[in-house]
Amino acid sequence: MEHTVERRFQLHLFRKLSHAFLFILHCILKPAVAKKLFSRVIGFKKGQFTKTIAYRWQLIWNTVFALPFPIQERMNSFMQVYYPHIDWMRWHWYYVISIPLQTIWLLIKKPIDRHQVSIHRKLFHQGWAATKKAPRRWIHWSRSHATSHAATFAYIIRKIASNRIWQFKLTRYAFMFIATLLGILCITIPFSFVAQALFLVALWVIALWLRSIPGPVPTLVMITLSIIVSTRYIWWRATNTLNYDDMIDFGLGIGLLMAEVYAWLILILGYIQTSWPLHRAPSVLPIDQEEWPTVDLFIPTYNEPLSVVKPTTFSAMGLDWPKEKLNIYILDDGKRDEFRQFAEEVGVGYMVRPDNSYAKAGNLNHALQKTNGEFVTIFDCDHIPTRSFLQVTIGWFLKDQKLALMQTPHHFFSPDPFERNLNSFRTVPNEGELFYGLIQAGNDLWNATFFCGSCAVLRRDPLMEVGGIATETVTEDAHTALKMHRLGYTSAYINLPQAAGLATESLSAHIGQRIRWARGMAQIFRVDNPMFGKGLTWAQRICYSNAMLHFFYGFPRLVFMTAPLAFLLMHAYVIHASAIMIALYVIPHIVHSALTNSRIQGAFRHSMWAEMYEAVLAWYIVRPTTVAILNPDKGKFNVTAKGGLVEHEYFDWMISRPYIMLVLMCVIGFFFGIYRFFYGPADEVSTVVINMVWITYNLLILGGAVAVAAETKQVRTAHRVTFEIPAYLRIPGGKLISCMIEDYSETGLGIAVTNGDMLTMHQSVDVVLQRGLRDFTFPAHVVHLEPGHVGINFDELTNEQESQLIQCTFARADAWMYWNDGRKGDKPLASMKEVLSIGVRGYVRLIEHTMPILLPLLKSMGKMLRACLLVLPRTPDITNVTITKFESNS
Amino acid sequence: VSIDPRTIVVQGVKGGVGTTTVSAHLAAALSDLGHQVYVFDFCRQNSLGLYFGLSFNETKGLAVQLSSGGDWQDAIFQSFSGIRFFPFGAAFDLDLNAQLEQFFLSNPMWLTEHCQLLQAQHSDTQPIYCIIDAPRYPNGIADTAIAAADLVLDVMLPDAASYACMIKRHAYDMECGVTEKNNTQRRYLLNGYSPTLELERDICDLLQTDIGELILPVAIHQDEHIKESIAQKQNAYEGALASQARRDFTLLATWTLAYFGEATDSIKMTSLHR
Repeated sequence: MEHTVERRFQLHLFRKLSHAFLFILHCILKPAVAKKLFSRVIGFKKGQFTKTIAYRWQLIWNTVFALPFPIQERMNSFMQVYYPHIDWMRWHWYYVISIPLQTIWLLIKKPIDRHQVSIHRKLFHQGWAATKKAPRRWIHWSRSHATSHAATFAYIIRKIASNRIWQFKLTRYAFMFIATLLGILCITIPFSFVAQALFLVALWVIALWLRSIPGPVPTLVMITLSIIVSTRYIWWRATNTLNYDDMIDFGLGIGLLMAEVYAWLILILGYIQTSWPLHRAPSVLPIDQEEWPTVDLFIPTYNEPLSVVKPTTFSAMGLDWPKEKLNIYILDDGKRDEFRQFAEEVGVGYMVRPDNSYAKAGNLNHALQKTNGEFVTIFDCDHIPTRSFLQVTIGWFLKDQKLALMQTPHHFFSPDPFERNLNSFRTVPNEGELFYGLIQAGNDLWNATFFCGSCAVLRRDPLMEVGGIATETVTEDAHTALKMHRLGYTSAYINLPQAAGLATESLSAHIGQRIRWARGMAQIFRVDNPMFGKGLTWAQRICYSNAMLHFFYGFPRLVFMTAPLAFLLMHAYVIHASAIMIALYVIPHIVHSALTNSRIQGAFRHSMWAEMYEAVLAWYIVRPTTVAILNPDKGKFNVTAKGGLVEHEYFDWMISRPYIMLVLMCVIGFFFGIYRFFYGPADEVSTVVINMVWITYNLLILGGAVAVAAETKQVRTAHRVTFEIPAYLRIPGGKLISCMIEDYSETGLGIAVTNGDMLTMHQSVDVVLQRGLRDFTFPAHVVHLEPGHVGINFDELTNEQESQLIQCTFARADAWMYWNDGRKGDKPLASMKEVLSIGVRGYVRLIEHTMPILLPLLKSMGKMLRACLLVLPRTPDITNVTITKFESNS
Repeated sequence: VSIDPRTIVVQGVKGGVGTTTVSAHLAAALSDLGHQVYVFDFCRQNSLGLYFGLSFNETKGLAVQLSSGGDWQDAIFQSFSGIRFFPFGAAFDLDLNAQLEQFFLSNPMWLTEHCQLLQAQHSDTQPIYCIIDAPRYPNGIADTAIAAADLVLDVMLPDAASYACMIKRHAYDMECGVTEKNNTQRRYLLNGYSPTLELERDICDLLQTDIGELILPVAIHQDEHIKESIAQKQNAYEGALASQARRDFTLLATWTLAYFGEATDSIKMTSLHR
């Protein structure tokens, strides 16, 4: 705010006087009283003597140096220009260093004045600035023209694609031949250092330009570029970088190369699988309900509590489907009376079987024998369907008589251990989203969507034709789908969350579940390999193989984690090439695949997060996958525990043992690296640096794995789902208060009210939710009260009320539609920064749990680091200093 | 005049179902959503004014002016929140009801013409809403009002008496054909609904099976807020901002606007939920 000179002078004088007064007060008061009085002003804690002194010193400074106003004002602006990082009104201890340091710096260094530079320098500066700006300008241009580019692009593509020459088989094959030839040329031709650099820069520029153009065709071109660069890298690695002279070097080199070939293979298979996701929309059902088929709905359960199964049953009963055409069965392998009683009460079927053979698959097969609906739909007992589930999914079955399976995504409304321990719930896509958001939709194009065990509809006849649910492996779902595909049936995927469930509640349970998947997929790969056998198209073979091969990432990941140690510890040259050549090949390989994957997967997985997910699981899936490949009959079905609590914050030492081992190895390697840097031969320095960078990166990723193992508390048994639903409260006396439900769970609600004056704590209220003219009343009481918000818990609800509650909340057709709204898109660099900072956080947590004594030290180290940055002198810039400015000091 | 005003007649299937409450609050809701509203009280109880802060002793009104040959514009009052309304008026020595009936008999187009006149005073593009609190049948004034109506809302309570009257009314309509202009059918609005009571819930279900979409998808809940507001000579839009009744009426207004093919501003809809 600008003041007149007089006003400024008045303010100045007033400030001086008040400082003088405060100083006197501060001196004459007893220290204890002064402390009490001034603690608010200064904000010090007990025993912070220095701050008291500092404050006194500050008061003296402000009073004694009460120079005449104009001089003082000029002083202020002088100080601000030459001591830009010193705040003269607040004293910090490190000013003792930074003020003298800055003074010395001022004596040595000339202040920057861009008006008074030589003409040469000026030209140079301008030229440099323009060069610096050029890429940004270019990017800006290409972005602002992205839509017109897209139109041009689409036009050209359409022109080319609609040309008549493609109708001739010969031309197609000829072009394919030429393209293959060119591709082989691009991949295999050896380049000099400069040629390789130029080639890669050219590809990189094209990729950056393509990135700004929306649409699937630019994606395909980006995929092509990425494949060329990565394959070229692998080719170069295989042909130029193996050291045949040294057996150790060679052996380790082959090991690393194999891991890289695996990663390359998965990259390429993944590109094929997800190149053009089919975003299938639901198909409309016939108007005449007579034509709608009969459906059997199975809810298999084994050891889950009734409270988990109840909501699923209630919402299944509320599905929008003719009542006489929908039969619901609870398949209880736990054989519990409680469940039988509940099923009788609410009027759904209940089935048990004499034995428990083949776990879930056996349970379902038993039920399949006893029922006869045209369609079968399966919900894991914790997956609550929305009311629209059947209407959304059945339509396609009536349209396509060969369709045997319709899968919908598994959606989770509670955070999984990654999301909970890394605090990324709903802000960063979780581990499963890549699969359900992209891979299944990509599979759908190739007619290779597979069954995921729950939230799916199957046509009974094909299912019975393959002998029911497969029992040979522990991932019975994928195997069943594979069998049906082999018989020529089709499958489909609709990417609309039509059911939601609980995520695994602890890291150990999560890992257990993934181990089962990995083992099962490896089993299928061994006993019924999709690459061989009859009935599949080549694309189906690729999609299935990728889904299975993907689970073999354990060993390669460990290889990448430990590879730099080969050089740092054992002095083995696993990549026999100069550091600069390695950089020229590796960096483009990484950059291109990161750019392309960020474009394809960005909405479903942020860049770099896969590294962390895999680092956590790598160690644990090595053994089961290897065992399954060697002996597929070993291993049993383990039930994933859900709906539990993590009562205390703790560090899972059992789980994190492998990561900590790896961390220790990497740390040792790191110290060896430092040693080699200083005492090793001079020509090795660049290799050492590359390996050090690599190992630091590995350490940070492992830090992320460590961070996940630090389990944070999970105190709610019932997870709150954020969703806005209008409702009203009836308070005793007959008044109705309109309100908005902000979050809901099975046990309570969070509510926004404009006027909460009429409510008191522990008061009984009726919450009424509306669906058209129908109102559903739930007795409850107030448990939390703050301005604008009320928390209520339900009283004992009857089965009918509980069912209605589920209908109004979890079973709403739009309940999960807006789940990802407001989530930020993927930005590769920002995402990388986030993942690496999670790594740092992991080590801080590790210290918290092992040596809490070190925490203060760590904190003060952080402070020191920050102080060091503050202490550093700064060169004053006097380019624009012409007038003395008065800055308000307060 | 380039645009027609929209005339909504609110009538009860029987007495004491709350037509005046509904008329006043529908007007307040439409006004709250940014529309120009005029409310006509055609009931001899002359109680509409109470919802808009009119003095109880005020005797001026449309019936008085029309039957005494005075200027009709003198009967316009404006509430504190800007809603214009015509009270019925009170004159104890005359039978105003019969006189107004007589007046409308000799001037059947008076209402339509004057609604258009009011429209012309306001805007060429934005239609105004004329809400008429009509007395129940049999009544000549109601006939006149309904002849001019674009929409007739029949208010009923969720009880057996109202239900019986409604069924009769509906059967009569089916037999004799609809009476309003533009062949619009009358719609039924549930007022004073307490969904906790089993009987009321059942009647609500029954209505939906009997007359289907002729029953409005919005019901006005039994809310003590309304009574308390009237006790303070206010309507719920002034006296009970957080009440469910207020939200119900806003929903009713939104339905009305949709009925006339007008899109409601989505921002206003969200503010309604807050």
